[in-house]
Amino acid sequence: MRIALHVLLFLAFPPLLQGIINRVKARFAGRRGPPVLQLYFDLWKLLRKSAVYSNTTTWIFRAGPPVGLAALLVAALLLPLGGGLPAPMAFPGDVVLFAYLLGASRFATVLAALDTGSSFEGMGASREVTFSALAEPALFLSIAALALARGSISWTSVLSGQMQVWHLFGPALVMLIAALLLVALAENSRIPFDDPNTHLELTMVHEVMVLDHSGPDLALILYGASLKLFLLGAIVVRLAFPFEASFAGHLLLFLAGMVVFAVVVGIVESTFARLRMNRIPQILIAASVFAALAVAVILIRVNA
Amino acid sequence: MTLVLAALLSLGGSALAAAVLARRRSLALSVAAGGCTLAALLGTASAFAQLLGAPAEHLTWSTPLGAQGALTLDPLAAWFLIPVFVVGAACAAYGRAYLLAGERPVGMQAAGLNLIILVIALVVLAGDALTFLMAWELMTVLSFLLVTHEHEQKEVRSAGLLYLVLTHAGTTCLLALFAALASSSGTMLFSGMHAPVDRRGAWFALAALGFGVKAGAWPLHVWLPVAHPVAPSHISAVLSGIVIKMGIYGLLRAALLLGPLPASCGAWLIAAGVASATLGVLSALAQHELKRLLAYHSIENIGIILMGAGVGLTALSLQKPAVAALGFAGALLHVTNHALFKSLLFLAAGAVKKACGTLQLDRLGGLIRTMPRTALAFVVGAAAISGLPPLNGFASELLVYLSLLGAFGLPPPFQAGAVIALAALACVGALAAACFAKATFAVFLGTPRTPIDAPEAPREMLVPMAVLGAACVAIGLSGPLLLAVLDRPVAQLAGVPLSLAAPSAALAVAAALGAALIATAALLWLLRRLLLARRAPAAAPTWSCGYPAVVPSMQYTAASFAQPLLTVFRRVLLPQRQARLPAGPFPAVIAVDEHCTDPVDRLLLAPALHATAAGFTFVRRAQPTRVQGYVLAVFAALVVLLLWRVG
Repeated sequence: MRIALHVLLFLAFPPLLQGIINRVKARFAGRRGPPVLQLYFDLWKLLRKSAVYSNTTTWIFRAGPPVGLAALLVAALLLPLGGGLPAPMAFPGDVVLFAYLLGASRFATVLAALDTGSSFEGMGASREVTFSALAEPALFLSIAALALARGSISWTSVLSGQMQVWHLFGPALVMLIAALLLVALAENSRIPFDDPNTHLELTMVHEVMVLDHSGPDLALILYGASLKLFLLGAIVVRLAFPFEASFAGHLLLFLAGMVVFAVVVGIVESTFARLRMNRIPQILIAASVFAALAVAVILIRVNA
Repeated sequence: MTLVLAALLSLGGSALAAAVLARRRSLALSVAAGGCTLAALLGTASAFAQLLGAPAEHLTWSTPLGAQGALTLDPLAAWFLIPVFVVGAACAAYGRAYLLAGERPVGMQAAGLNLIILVIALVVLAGDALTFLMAWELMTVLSFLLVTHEHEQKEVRSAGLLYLVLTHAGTTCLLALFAALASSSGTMLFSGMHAPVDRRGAWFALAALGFGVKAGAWPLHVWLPVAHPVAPSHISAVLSGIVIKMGIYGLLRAALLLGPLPASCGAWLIAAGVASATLGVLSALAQHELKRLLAYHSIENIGIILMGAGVGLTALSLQKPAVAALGFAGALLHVTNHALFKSLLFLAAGAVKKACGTLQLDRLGGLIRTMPRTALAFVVGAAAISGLPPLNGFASELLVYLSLLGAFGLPPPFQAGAVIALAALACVGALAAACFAKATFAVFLGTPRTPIDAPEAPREMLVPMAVLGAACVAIGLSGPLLLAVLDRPVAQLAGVPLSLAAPSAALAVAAALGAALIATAALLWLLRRLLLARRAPAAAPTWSCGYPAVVPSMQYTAASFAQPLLTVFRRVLLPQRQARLPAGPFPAVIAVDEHCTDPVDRLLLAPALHATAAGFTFVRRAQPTRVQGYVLAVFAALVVLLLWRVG
């Protein structure tokens, strides 16, 4: 039952985040903005449309969206929502599997983009692998910090009972949240790393990789993108809102946290500009430095 | 032991037959491949029996001079024998078609491949220092002969020479190591060897240098990216798949012979592993030739293996046998996995080379249309080597990760080291995926950059690739079953069996989710098919943002794909740049040429080799030209020695 609820939550909720972000951005710009459920409508429309395939593409291009989404769906099974909803699958070290499933999803998307032979999509793929390679150490250093603080290395244990960690390592946790927020924004190609609104410009990352996808394929990709934002956002939210409550109360708390996360992303996107391409590696390395500092603080506290 | 001896006999006999039949090319190659396959069946059967619980076996003899020799089949040897035989058979079968297509005499190659598999098996089985060193030396010489198959090219000869010189420098260290071990324990037999506690660290350093050259660990790797590209592809597969693994085997065997080591030995191995892995993968990103790129990835993977082995040795000396077992398990499993997917990638590269005549990334492209099966094999190998679930590379990298996370329980300096190694391994994983996305794209995807009519590889070459690829998938999905075969070699190295609960749960969930990934992807694929069944999809040119006259040369290139990462890491890679920037109002020539030659080669090895050569030239000039001069020199040396002895 709880597993069903977990899966249902991960399946149904992600597109809503996108709607909230767009609403917040619209408000900042003085517009009313699209309906909050707009992405659900878009997905429904795309699923009923036909597709156009480039003559250059092969089965690699067709395999990209299913494999890319499947890896994210499987990764969702490893993430606990805390309280009454532990992860359906967990083992000590599942953090590694989670990160590599995200990697598998990226590999499929990147190869599909490269299969078109378009220089735009090649450019996007090249940037995607660059930024993700730089975000990976930040993610794993954060995982290492959490593992050192909790003495355990599974998402379920790392992301529960955070109150105690806040008491012991508060400053370190603030740095970790900053690092993970940067990783989440970079991995999801959001401002300040990439602007999801600038279609057809030479500066973009994720959007340019999926230029040639259409119809159901595009639906899978858009849904996958929202799921990925949800997954990485859930980690940040679980760390930043460490409160434990009853089952229903906890669930509400978590969902409220996700809404706050979406609002924060929306505010960031409305108030920051996209960075110049050559600045992005520096920010990602800064995220690694935050996480490394957190590791150092925790190591010193633990061994003192 | 009988089965293994039969396998060795089959290898030797078929090598002899192939040499005799060398004039009948097809027959000689068939005999050699058949002998190798038979040996693989016999040898793997025997090795699996050993892994699943058969007692260790010894075969001893004594020479007339009193020295004792032995062959030993223990769990560690059995673990290394499996990839040796499997990869050997796949390469022999593949090599038949590969060599028949050429014009050269094949006897040497056919017999040589079987002989090298034979001596590699002897290296693994050797139970005494003399047999080990002789087999080791034969392995070096035979691989030199096989690498220099196309010896009329100067580049091939100099690559072979570099390999020979560097590995012999390594062998010198091994001679010293085994001489010291034998003289301190009074026997050449491994079973009787032991080392005094205060010398173990220094002797392990000798082993690390000697075996490190063969393994291609940074900074002893320089021969590797030079020798791999010039060899025929199935020989590259043997070199990268199993010959360099003998360095790892030697290191682990030396650690067993020396007994408990100081913790710093393991820590140095982890450091060497981190350096090899990161610098290997970064250099691979900078390569423009497919086999050179693959060769640098071998350095990267040796680094991952060294990290696991290093955690194993460190944890062992700090009395954490459970963590040590995880480290050794990761290292051992990665040895087999890398042997499988790297030989698969080299064989696929060989098929491309045979079809297109070049492996320059910027001249290929779009081959997936004419070579779909080779492309599939390459993509499977690429995903496996990038450590992506559900393939085998992930299973072994997961064990290495688990051992690093387990090392968080060690004392503080090692804890910090483990955190650094963890972050490095994560970065290496992402960079490897980036590099294989680049390689797959440049060779197989997009449209051809130069018009090449590339036919699909023949069935004889595809079947070995299919076998290796299937093994990659099978290992990735077999989960806790792996622990059943890993248990005994790990117990031999760590002194305790792999404590089953943690890794078995990890591998079980990883395999289950891997299967779930395949199933979900298949379901989504079906869903799309159903959705598109009623609305036939249209075909159109790739969307080029409205620009109508797209030509293949406008595609992104491998170099431009890797450029952002190379720019970030330029301080590490030290690229050499020659630019003629536009000058004046009417610039005539604008050119930028940037390439990454290996910094170790350029800044360290080349000057050292030149200095050595200059020294030898001086000695040659200085040597006396008359016989009286020689006599005088001998006499003087005698006097000096006598004085030294007396004094």
